[in-house]
Amino acid sequence: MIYAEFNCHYDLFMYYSSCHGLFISILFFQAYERGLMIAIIPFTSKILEPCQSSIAYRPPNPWTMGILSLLVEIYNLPNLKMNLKFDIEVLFKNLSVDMKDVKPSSLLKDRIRQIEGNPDFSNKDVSASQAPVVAEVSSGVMPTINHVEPQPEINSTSRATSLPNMLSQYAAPLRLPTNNMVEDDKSALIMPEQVSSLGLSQVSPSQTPSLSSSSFSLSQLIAAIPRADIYFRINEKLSSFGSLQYSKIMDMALDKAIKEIIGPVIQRSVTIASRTTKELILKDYAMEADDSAVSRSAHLMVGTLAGSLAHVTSKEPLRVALSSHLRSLIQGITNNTESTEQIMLILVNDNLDLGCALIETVATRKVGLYSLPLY
Amino acid sequence: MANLQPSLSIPPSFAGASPPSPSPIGGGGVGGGVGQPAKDMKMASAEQLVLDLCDPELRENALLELSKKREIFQDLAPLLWHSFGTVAALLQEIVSIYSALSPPTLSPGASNRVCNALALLQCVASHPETRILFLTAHIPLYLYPFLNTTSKTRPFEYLRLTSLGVIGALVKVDDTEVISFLLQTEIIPLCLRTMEMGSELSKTVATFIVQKILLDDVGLRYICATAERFFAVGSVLANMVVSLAEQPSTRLLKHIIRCYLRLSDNSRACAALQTCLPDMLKDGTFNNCLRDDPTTRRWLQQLLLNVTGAGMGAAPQPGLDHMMGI
Repeated sequence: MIYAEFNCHYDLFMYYSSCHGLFISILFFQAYERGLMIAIIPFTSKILEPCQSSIAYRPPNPWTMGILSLLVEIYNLPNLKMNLKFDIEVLFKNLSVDMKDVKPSSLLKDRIRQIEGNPDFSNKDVSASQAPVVAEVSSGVMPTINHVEPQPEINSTSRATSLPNMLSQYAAPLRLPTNNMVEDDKSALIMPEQVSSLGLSQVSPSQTPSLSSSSFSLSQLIAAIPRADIYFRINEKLSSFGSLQYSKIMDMALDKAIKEIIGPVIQRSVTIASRTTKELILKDYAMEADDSAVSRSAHLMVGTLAGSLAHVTSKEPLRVALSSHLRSLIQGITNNTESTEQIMLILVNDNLDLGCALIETVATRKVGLYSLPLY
Repeated sequence: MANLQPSLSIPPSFAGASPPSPSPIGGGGVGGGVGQPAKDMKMASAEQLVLDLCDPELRENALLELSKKREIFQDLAPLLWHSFGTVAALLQEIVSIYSALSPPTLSPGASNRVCNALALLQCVASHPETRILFLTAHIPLYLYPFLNTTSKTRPFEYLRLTSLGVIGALVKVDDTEVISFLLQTEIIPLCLRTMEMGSELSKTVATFIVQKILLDDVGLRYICATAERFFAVGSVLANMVVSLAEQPSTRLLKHIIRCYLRLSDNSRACAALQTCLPDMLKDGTFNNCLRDDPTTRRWLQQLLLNVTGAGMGAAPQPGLDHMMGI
């Protein structure tokens, strides 16, 4: 029963995967060109391993065999690293398929791959026709060079880095020169932090700077309180900690207001800035051979434009939203409509620019995550 | 004496420009000799000023000089667009004053500077080679925040007027692609705002833009597509007619009447105009204004004929009979 259930779920998974077969092919093409097969091949092996137990997808299923053909083509590439060859051999063995019986595909012939710094290929010439038995013997003869134990470690490393690399693949589908490989990896590693940072920028900055700004506006609130004190002596107790309460109210209102308007503002600003940057950068750098210079200028420009547009277009909507939230929150602690409006206006005028600056920061960071379609 | 005289005459013709380097004049005629160096220095000046735009230290002066001479330099627009970093520098001038828009703290100096940049963008918007490139890069959208301002001070009024000038340059050529872009990016509400509260000059340019949009079939369909849009435009035009009775402006009145006439080409709009066309356009209030403008008088007569004709088609009314009697 458990086995049958597992098999059913696996078939569903594979069915969905096969509907996106082109997707996996594209994965391989990009991996081949950019030196990322060290991630894709173990990934594919893990997906295909259970095919043996699947009624629908075990060989000679056309979809499965198509991928195996591609793997054979990869296996026969000159100077392919031993760990990748090993992964492919293990997969074929697990599927009980003889590599010789599978006709290799010819999908990679027209594609140009990076050579310098490519982790998928070794510089020294290793014979592809080496027999498995001979390989084992060699491993025994020269343990310091072909030690079997490091291989699991390599696989573990490749699995650990596969996610950032794959994210990098989609976040930056630019074709970068080989000398930027390190920079690209660095960008990939930064990606998760950026995502987290984006989340934080919507929450944390609206609290910390808000408190700071509220502290700044405390003196003005104190100036406003005596008026309320004059009208409502009952509030003498409230006025002693009213400042803190206003800080909390300001914090809550600003957070709600920003969340309310930030979506459309960011989307519009980023869209316009990306379009403008694309047209102008392609024009100005038409003769530029250094892709990193192009990319650097593009990101600097698009961030500045998106941030500026977001700031200027968010001001009025934010004022309206902030006023609305402040009004309802202040009404909760005071019955006087006039003082509510006055307190609200003071809080809005003192903190509106802060809110816009937060949105500008989000826009500038947000646009950095988008891939500019420069090519 | 002959040698001294030509060198003395050179500086006055380049007042304010970079000082010309002394060049020996050979045996050639004096007139020919003077002409050629003058032309060379003029062209060098334009190209050098464009290069100066990329240097923040030299940009302000370059903006001023280029803005003043943009009528002289016929091919300034392609030079601006295709040179490296120039349009990006102009964009930087625009976005750098966004923070002065609200609260309104724009100074006359800052306004003049950005308006010089906008004047150069107007050149780009006008030139047939660069107009579509200008639109494709969505440059006009960076001017919309300026049109959204409401401050009545001179620096802001000048900023809005110059921004409208850029949009006006785009619509002068009656290009459907331009009209479609402006409609998709919602220029109409921004123009209506200026038509409501701008200076006479700003109102005139804004109304001219709306007129050009209406004259395009795409634009007319867009504005008459919903009652909301039609009445938004119609009510602003009506309010302008009322205020014109107190402060006459023949040029502005001309654009208003042309807008109404074009609206009456749409059957539903024409039916609506029967009830909401301002009486002042019917009762001869503006006869004095239009005495010297036969074109606008003809437009007004055609407008009244269109509206009246549609009315007769619907049902005869005592009021209309009375008018026909006159």
